Amino acid sequence: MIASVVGRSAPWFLVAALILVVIMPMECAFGADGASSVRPGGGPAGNTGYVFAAFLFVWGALWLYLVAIHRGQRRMEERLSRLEKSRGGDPS
Amino acid sequence: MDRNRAIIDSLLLLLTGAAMAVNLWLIFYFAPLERTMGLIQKIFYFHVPSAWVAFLAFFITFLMSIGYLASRRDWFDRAASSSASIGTVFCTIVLVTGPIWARPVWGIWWTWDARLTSTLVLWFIYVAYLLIRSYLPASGTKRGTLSAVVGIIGFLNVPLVYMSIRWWRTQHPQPVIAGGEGSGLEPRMKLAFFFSLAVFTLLYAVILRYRMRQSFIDGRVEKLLEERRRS
Repeated sequence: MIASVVGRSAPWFLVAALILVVIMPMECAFGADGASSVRPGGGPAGNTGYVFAAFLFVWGALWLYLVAIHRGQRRMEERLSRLEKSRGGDPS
Repeated sequence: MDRNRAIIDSLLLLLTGAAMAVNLWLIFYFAPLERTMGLIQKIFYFHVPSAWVAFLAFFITFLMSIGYLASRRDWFDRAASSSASIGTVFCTIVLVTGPIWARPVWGIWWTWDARLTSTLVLWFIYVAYLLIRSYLPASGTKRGTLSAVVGIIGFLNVPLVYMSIRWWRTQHPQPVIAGGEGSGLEPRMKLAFFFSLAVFTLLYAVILRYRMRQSFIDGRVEKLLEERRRS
């Protein structure tokens, strides 16, 4: 019960974290009112693009890797279950 | 057993997600903007922890490879390969976020200095490690032995990558942490950085757990297929 509730909410939690990745650099660069709050180091618009690119790549890469592991695991579990059934053993 | 594992997996995932959200808050709201680089310096809080996780993962691969050669137990081989694949992903993140940071700060995407080149070589070594594993058959000890040797020799490059900015003059900045006199971070930056380091380490542990499980199932499938071929 707990596992299914937590398991169901976990992807939404990660989606919320992904949204934060997009919002936080934007607010940090431009402030809540849209005015630039970035001090030296080049124009905020130019640098914000680089920060977005880097953070989206990090999260995208990690997300894809986790999805790949999850799918691979599920595929292998199904295969294992089929093999064990055909062998006549107990899948558990 | 499966139920307990599912609960632990879900809780770990939630904990990691929550820690990542706090991490982002610390990076973007708590840590101040760096005076000369501004917003782009925020990449530091992901770039350096990714490098740390890559080094840690390759170190675990190194230890597990030694364990495999000494004992020939499959568990060591599985742990070594799982850790190597995670290390390669984080090393890729380092190699991509580095140039994205470098372009607006240095004016170039890439330069062949000692730190960047040795990191790229490290990445190639572990890509080769993973290729060896994917091409060799899982049955027998050839795959485990060969990849263990690469896992041990490949790790020798890690201290070289770490020390490269101390031994040679490089475009890459000198160390900020443990860099001797004149180095160091502003206290709030330091807190955000070490929190990020802890969160990335937790992420590594969680992913390693998943990868180990997948690898264990792969092993069982291989064993059953082998039995079927023999019978």
